[in-house]
Amino acid sequence: MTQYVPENPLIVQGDHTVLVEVDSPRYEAARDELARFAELVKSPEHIHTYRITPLSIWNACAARTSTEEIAATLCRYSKYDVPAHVLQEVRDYASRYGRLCLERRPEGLVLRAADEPLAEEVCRNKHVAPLLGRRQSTLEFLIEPAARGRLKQALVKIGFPAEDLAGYCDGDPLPIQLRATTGGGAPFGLRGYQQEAAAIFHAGGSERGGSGVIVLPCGAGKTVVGMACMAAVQSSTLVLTTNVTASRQWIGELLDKTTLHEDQIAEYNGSSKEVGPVTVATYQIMTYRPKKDADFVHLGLFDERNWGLIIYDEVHLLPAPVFQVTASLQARRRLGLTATLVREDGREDDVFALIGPKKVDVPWKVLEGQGWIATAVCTEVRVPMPDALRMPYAVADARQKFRIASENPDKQELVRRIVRRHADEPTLIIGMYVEQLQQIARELQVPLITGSTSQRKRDELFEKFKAGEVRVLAVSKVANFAVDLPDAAVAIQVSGTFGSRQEEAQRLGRILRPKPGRNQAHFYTLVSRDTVEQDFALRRQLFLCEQGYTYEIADADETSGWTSGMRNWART
Amino acid sequence: MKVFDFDWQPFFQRLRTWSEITTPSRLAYVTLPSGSPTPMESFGKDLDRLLREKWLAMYADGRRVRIHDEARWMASTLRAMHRHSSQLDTESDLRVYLHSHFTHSEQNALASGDFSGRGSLPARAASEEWLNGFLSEDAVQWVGRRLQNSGERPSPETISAAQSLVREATSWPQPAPLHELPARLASVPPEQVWPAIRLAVRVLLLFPRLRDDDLVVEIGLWPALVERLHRPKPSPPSVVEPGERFQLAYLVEDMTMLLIAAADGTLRVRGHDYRLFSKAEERICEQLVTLPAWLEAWISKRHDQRLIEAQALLRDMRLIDYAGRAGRDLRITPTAAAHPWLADTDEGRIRRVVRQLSPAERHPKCGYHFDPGDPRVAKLALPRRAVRAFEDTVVGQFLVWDEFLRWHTEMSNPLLEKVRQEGAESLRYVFWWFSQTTEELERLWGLILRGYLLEYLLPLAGVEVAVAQGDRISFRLTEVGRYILGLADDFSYRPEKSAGGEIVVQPNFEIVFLSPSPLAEAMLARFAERLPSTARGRRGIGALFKITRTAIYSAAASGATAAQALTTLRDISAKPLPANVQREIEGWFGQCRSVEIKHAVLIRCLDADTAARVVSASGRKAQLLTDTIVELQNPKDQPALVKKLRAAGIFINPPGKPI
Repeated sequence: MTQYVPENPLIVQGDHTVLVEVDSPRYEAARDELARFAELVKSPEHIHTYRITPLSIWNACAARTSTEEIAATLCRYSKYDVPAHVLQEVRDYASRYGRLCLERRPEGLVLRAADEPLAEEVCRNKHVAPLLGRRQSTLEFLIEPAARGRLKQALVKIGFPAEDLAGYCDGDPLPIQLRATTGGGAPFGLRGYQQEAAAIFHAGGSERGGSGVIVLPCGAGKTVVGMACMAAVQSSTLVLTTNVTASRQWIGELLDKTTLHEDQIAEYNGSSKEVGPVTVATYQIMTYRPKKDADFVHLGLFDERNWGLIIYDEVHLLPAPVFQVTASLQARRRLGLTATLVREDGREDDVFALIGPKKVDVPWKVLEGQGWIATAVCTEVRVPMPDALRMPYAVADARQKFRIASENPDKQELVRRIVRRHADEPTLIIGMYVEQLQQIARELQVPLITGSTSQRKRDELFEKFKAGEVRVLAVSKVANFAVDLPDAAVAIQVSGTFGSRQEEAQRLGRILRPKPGRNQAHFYTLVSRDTVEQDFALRRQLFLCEQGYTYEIADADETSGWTSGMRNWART
Repeated sequence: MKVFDFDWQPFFQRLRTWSEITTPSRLAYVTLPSGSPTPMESFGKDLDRLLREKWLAMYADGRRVRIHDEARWMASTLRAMHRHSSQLDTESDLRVYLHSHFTHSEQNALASGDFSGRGSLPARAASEEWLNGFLSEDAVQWVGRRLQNSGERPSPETISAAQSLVREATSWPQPAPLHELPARLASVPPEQVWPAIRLAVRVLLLFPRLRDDDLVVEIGLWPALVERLHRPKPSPPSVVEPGERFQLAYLVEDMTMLLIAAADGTLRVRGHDYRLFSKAEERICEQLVTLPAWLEAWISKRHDQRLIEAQALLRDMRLIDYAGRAGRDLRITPTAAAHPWLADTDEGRIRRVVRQLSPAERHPKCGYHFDPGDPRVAKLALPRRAVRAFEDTVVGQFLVWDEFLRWHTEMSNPLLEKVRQEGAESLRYVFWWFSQTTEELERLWGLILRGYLLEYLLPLAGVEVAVAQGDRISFRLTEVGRYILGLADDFSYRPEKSAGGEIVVQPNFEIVFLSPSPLAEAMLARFAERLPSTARGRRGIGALFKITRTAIYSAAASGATAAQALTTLRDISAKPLPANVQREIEGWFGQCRSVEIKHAVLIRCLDADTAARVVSASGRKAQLLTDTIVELQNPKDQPALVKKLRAAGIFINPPGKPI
């Protein structure tokens, strides 16, 4: 008979998934240990699911977690016996890490194998062999510095990740410190987890640190961690972000919270092509090419200066051409920042090989518990279709159906009610159809940002929103990514398909930053009842529940009590 | 006899060499291909001796060897012994042995006196009766009958010596090495030892073979018989402390699951055997309740077998029927009786199944296809005796099943009692197709009792089974069990649900089992989708179900309601039911509607005036759908309407011609 320890929180399954019971008295201890070698797959309210993969084990090995520790954790916290084959496979995965090692020697970069059969296997592999140079001895191969990244990629793909101990070039020195008081005069200091993340990344400047990924939930201050790493490295830095708005926010933060001056920070994007000791560029510009088959004209930026650190913001969105360039930049320190390691294209192994292993992963529940991010309540409100639209909806084709349901005019009244309900809270109204947003903006007299809004105007409105001069802002899809709206407490999504997992997380991330008072955020989704929109909403519901958010469903008629006074939201 | 019928003395004399060479050399010798050259290295340092003593002969090339001509008979005997060395165990092994070493006429002679002929010779030869017959006073006659037509006439001295030899062998827990035999048989005259062995082998009392690990020649009684002779006397079944327990009317759950799957009338079956097509079968099998691993291993029943039984029973109970044509659209359709059955309580459904099976009167199908309607079988009143065996169990206590079975088969066996009271012939014509040895009658009664347990009591929650220390299966009769056996007029069925805190309904619609609960699985399977087994790990644990719209629609089609589903979820879940899950379930059930599909005739008219005339001509049998389209509700009225229309000056256009 198998053992059963009900007070333990883990169930280790044969398919390498680990179920974690949140209500167990030993949950927190188990979670902290488990997170070192397993990836969180989903975290609905009661039972979370983690998965042990070769990558997660190698990440753990890179962080010096031993197989014995992994096995001991699984056995110590498991309700049932841990399947023997899982332990065996953990041992097997772990045994592969570090058997190949990249080192710097006087004669150059060397790949060293732990034993001869492995050296033979590696040098006979058709993907690895072309990347190896002269064989120094039975166990060692010279490596061209330019092949360092591609070799690491190839080795990960064949299941023998190389431990990169070849170190980094120092880059141009750049004195940079974090301020104790921000430019705006507010006191500033690193939070404990931010400080720890930066220290783990830097590893005292040794070759054991200097490259890797820091995973923090939306709103946890990844930009600040990036700046702390810059301060640790003290070297010229290239920051890559997802878009211009995000770039500007990086620049704003750098000026606000570090000792850097404006002339030390350059912006490299569609409208400005400056290069400075700290350069903030976008993935868009890096992957720009005039024709489909032309070269990427801006990739030269990577060689423009002697960068000591490259920061990849939202690393899970890193485009393929940047991966290619990153492969040749292995001598530079690299920091990836993200809220999730999950990539829609499944290239997590490339992130591991080229940017580096996961260095830090702080669960959002921990930060929520500490008050560093807001508690979010997701509410789906179902609005009946007006009688006049039911027949047009019934006979429309699939695409039209979605639009008719999305643009349900009765949603406007509901938006009004929600806005009234959160009278004092900064609110974003997010939509997919510009006409609908324009109508809502007109009705509520609130400003609107769409794709056609100029960058200047956007920045101006964002600034006013931040300053509290604009309390309600309507935005189309442009606000999805890396838009730092620190005081948004309420988001109302009036239309839109369920996008990728990241899109949904980012949308929610807009409202997760800590709030004064109850530190609570609200994410409303308005859905036309019994329409295709409800099907999309179900997928969103599943996703958000699996992320651990509280999800409520309400009918429009249940919201009648939400009205609590009128006010004009446009203070401009 | 084909191989072993020879003078054993020279064989014994040559055996000295065999016992002195190494085991690898022995193995090389018995596996040496007949007539084919073999490298001489296989025999190592024994090669010289084997060549010298003419066990082997060298080829002219001086590098390879073969069996020496003078040792051919020895080699073939050793090979025959080696062939059976690890295959002298089951009845089918004995059948193979008989086939290998005896001609049909020899087997017929050995089986003489047995009503069922040589078919049951293996069972008979492995029985105590066989041994006792040979050891009896009229052994000469016994042997004579079994060697008839062979021309062999062993002397009374040889028979007596063989009796001594066999009597001696009954005390051996293991077969004896042949080279030790003369020393062990002090009571047998030396000149009779070898003829005695030859006779005992010839009449299936002794079986020669090579010992598995070192290939030493040994001889002994049939192993199953030795085991039987040396076993301790049975004792009443012991009471044990149960470990993991199980009680669930899974047969009823399987039937329910199949009915739900067939609710929409699209579940197709194969024309030739009325089984589900494999994809549908796999899909439904995935949905069946998972039994604990120890139980599934014990009852050896796969999900597809359970499904077949459920289907057969549903058909017998007229809860399903088949519609459509074989090979085209033959499918299962629930009958009108199915919905009331599904809507009934657990007790009600079990009651109906018990009425259909009537275990208190009918034998289970236990592998023996005897006719329960046969008055000679009925006279034995086996169901009554089986019921009594279970009735006698101590209420509430778990008994070890194997001990229960052994006690009843050996100490309280109505078949043996019959034979003891009325003689061996009393059952000959009832069970004419098998040999009525003690072992066989014990086996038959054991199968009947096991059939009661596995075919009636266990699948209908009539027993609670448990795995006790030492992985022993134990059981106890439940209230349902007493009802099934006709010992109670009614029952309540409340199997223990999973202990609190072990099943969780998550906001993402998954239902996670932190510990196994087949009952909860059965309850959930009615309206939740079982996740594929690949997504699961440990049996009965993990995210086993997901509540989906499809599953809810399917449950609604079979008559389930939102209230039932929500009550079940609240009952089983250790945590409050997430509000979003409750909302969606209510919403999905609320979306379900019934519609009627019927055939009608549409009459398209040129204008509204004509349409009005058509309606007028039809009486009340047609109605206007639009200004120009009239619906005739019953197509059978069409000929009459056509006549009336013609009379009214309205003609029917041939198809395709514009009006």
